[in-house]
Amino acid sequence: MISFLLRRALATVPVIAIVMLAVFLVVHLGGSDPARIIAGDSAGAAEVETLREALGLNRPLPIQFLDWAGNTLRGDLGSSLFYGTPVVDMISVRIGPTIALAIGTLLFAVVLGVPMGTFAAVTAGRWPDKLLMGVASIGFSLPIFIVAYTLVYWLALVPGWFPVQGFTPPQTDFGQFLRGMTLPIITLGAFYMSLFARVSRAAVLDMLKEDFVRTARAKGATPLRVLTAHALRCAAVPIITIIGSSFAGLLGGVVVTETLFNIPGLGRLVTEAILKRDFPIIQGVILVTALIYIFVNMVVDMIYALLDPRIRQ
Amino acid sequence: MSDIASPAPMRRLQLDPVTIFGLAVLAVLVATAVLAPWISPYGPTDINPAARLQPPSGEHWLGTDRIGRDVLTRALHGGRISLTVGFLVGIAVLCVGVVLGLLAGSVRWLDGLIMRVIDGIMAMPAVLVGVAMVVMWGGGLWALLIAIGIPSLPDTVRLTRSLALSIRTEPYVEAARMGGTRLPMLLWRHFIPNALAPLIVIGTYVGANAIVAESLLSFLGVGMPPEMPSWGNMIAEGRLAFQIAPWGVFVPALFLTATVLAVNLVGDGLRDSTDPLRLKSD
Repeated sequence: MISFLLRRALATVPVIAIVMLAVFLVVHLGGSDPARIIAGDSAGAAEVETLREALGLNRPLPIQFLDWAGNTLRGDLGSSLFYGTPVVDMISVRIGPTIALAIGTLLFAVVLGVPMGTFAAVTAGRWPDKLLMGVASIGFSLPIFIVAYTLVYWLALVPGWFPVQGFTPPQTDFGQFLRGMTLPIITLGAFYMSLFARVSRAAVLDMLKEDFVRTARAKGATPLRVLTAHALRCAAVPIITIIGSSFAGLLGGVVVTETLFNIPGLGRLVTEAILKRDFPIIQGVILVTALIYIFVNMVVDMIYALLDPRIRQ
Repeated sequence: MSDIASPAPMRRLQLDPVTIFGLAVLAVLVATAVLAPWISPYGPTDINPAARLQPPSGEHWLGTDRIGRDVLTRALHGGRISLTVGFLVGIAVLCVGVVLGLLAGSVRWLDGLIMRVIDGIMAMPAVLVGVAMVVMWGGGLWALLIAIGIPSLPDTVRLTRSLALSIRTEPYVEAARMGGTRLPMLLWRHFIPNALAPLIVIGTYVGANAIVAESLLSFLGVGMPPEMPSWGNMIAEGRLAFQIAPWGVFVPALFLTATVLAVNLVGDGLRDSTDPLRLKSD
């Protein structure tokens, strides 16, 4: 078991290296010159050249990469071009609302989606299945905009039940925080609820066909016990996989949702950075979200090993 | 996924009513997008300051925006952009993804490398990478298409690789190889017929995702140039006057929804009716 955990942790190293290389290349292989962006539009060629030298941008790319990677591994993500503050500090100030939104969305999607899919599997082919899967396939295709603005219009703007936008920190007023997070969570969660419902249905349906389920039934286990103790327990593996692997998309969706609802999280930090071409911020946020994703998926694989002893070998 | 046995090859293209509905919606969207300049009496960038933020009326069926442009006209022209992006990215991702997937599935030392790169791509949020690429690569249509395409590569590569790995161990393929059939012929005779249907299905999902990704990037201000009537641009602009003129947001959002829903319905229908291996069984 310990050796499995160690091997799984080591397996993240190449992926982290590739993500770092990719983030570096996006900035340095593009048509535009970081020194040019930093110097601003009014700077002359000589000024840009001095700056390039000062920043070490005239060195060979591999050297620049190693230098940058070394700093990054020591936790130094550079400084914002516009504010001059360290990117790490800016991220740690803004990460709270993003984590709250991501976790809230995941909870919403799992709590609704998994039972939806399970119920659909149990009633496969009959009307509850068709109804639930119809809802799921619409939810799967609804772009975030239509969900967001429909909710804002009918639940916030017209009746005033929820704030149209904005964010209240939980320590200021927890009730207001929840009210403010409700619409963003449903907006982002509708898609993931549908995704989890589809995957859960397929997973439970597969398990219900297995021999051990038939055996359990033959022994006289009640349908509820067959479902919870036998089928769902094994179906948990694919369900947890999809939850883990949808984390990157979820964090990307957070960017747009935060912009739609004016939530001051990492997403808003990025959209503000876009306008000023403040690339160290964008780079830093991508790295942090990728690391969160890699970490979450490592934990997911470790959970498997606990659930299913065959994986440990 | 239902537990009904896969249909026999002869019945492959019998599509269910839902898929036909999706195809019909898609056909209408394509037709109205292509014919947009002839359908509407207005141009997508015609400004009319006298008719700003007008609600839907006989003159402007779906209202006007903040500078008096006709919303329906712009949405129809937006369809040209979105459908083109979806189609181009779908084709390009399929081509590149199949090549990478075949390499990973047949050249052992490349397998680990390609799959780690794919893991890396999957770890990074597509929207953020798109933003970074467009910001650093100075915008432009090609940067945008690449930024949209790269994050959707993993599905195609993984599917192609698993197909290649499963097909190469089939007895008829081994027999053909031992009989001296060369690689191009092997691919043509054995890989393509097996892989075409699932790849087309993946292609529809990639196309739908590309359409959504373009609208997200445009909405964030790093997509199509702001003067172009892309749906994301329209939503970004419309939200500034959402309280007075919600149609400025809802019309492009509904067009986007209809397109994505239609493409996904067609994809689901094709998957259910062609996929003998039931690769995407969710």
